[in-house]
Amino acid sequence: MDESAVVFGSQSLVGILCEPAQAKEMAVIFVNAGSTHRCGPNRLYTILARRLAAKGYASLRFDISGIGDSPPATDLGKFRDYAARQVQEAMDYLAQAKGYPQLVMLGLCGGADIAFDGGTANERAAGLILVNGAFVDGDAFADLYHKASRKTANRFYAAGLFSPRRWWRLVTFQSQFWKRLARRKEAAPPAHTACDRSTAEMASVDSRLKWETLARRKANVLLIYSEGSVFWDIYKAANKNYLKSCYPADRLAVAFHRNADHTFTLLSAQERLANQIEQWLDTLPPSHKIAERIAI
Amino acid sequence: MSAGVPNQNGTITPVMFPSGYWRLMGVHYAPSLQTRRGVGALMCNQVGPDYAEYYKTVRMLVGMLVAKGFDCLRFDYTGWGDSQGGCEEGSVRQWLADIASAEALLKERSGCSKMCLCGFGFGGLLAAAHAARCEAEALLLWESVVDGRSYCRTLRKNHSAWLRGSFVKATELDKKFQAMGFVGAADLERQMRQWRLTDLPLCRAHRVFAVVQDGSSDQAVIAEHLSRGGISVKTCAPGDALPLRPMRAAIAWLEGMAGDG
Repeated sequence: MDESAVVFGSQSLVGILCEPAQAKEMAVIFVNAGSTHRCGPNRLYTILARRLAAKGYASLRFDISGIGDSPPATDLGKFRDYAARQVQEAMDYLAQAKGYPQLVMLGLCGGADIAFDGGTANERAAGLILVNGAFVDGDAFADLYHKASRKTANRFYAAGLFSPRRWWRLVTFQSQFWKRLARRKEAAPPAHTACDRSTAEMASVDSRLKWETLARRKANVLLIYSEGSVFWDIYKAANKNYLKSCYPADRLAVAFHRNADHTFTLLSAQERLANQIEQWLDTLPPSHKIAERIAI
Repeated sequence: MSAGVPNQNGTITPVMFPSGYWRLMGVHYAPSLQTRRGVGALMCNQVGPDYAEYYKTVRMLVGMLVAKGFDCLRFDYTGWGDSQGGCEEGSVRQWLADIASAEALLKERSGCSKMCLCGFGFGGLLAAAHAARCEAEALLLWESVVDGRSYCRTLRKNHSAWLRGSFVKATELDKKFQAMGFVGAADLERQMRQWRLTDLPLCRAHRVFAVVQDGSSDQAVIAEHLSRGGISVKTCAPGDALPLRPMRAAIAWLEGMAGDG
């Protein structure tokens, strides 16, 4: 395995190209998780990149303008728009300069949404691994997030119903529950924007167009959610039913990781995540078959 | 090595460089020729769960320093960030060797005659240890750990509180020294606990600037220990989430150092 620092694209983006000695034709692009630089939270991207290299997959983890070591953007417009464009530049770089014809996008949290946007817009994206992504847009997102947060908290407390220690902490006011309760009152959205099913559906209109594009392109998608992430509840409210009925089941896999937090902090959670990603990548058809499929 | 990338204040060059058995990832930020002062600032980042948060502070400080004509190098220690090595390979001894390698690289690339070590969190303790045996002119300590034992205790306490308040359940694999994403070999905690600012030999830098909470015990320890031997010590409170005030104060202080013959 060889890792080298690279600079590419119109905005001189900084990244690390990780290549195995015997590379497969398919490479993986890691998209910044929120504002965390290219190593990912808890060094997750570096760890995954090296694990994938051991399996023969090259990868590029890079910084979008203004994150990590890439120079800040000026006059590029909205973050999500130029981030998606830069993801495409990364795809062009891997395809044209490095000769990887098929690519898989991988993003966590905000990175999942950007990987989704960038992958939708470029036919080279044969697969998407989207970890704890929201895939909802517009002003309704805040309301949806608020409601989903409640559900996440409810799941947490339900899991502790039979734990004497948790009950002890609750009655002795050591539990975080009391702080969360106070915060919940402060952060409640205005009554007229209460979140219901139609709000959730409205919030994902743009995303649905993108899902349709991916479905037409026969892209393979792995959605991963962790138990401790609010985005699991957002997914259930906004996208679960839609994807179940509209996205081809043989190209969509949804995984739920118990005992894992939003950023897969513990080693055991990272290990399970890496295993799943490796297994899923191995199920993808060879790149010449994907090219045939797109041509059809 | 990649070619340098010009930006508004100079050039950014990502570089992989050796440190013993390992190759480390670093980024050299060179100022434009017109503003270059001939002073290097080596960023010794935090070693801990808030490494990524400090990375943003480091990056911001570097941007401001380069605009003022300083050559800067930030790098990842062995087993951290993009550098080689897994979490098992990190050790205090190795990290100190990494700082020495990074300093040599910065001197080689920039030709700087003066050097400032900038340490963040536990990286501050490492920078202070290195400053005791190198020829750095100045030492900048940003919320530096002063006692490894109490730092490790805080990490453990915060990790336990985080575990209690999350869905996460630790398994056999998580028996290593872990603190909210910071993972080390079983022996690492023992090593880190042994390091204390007050046990370090006298700093050879002529001046020290510390970003530390006003009135804290750390402030007293830093001022008392480092001012021995006539070293000039200046302190500033860390301020808010966006630490512009201490950054400006630190840069003004560094400019003063660069201006002194």
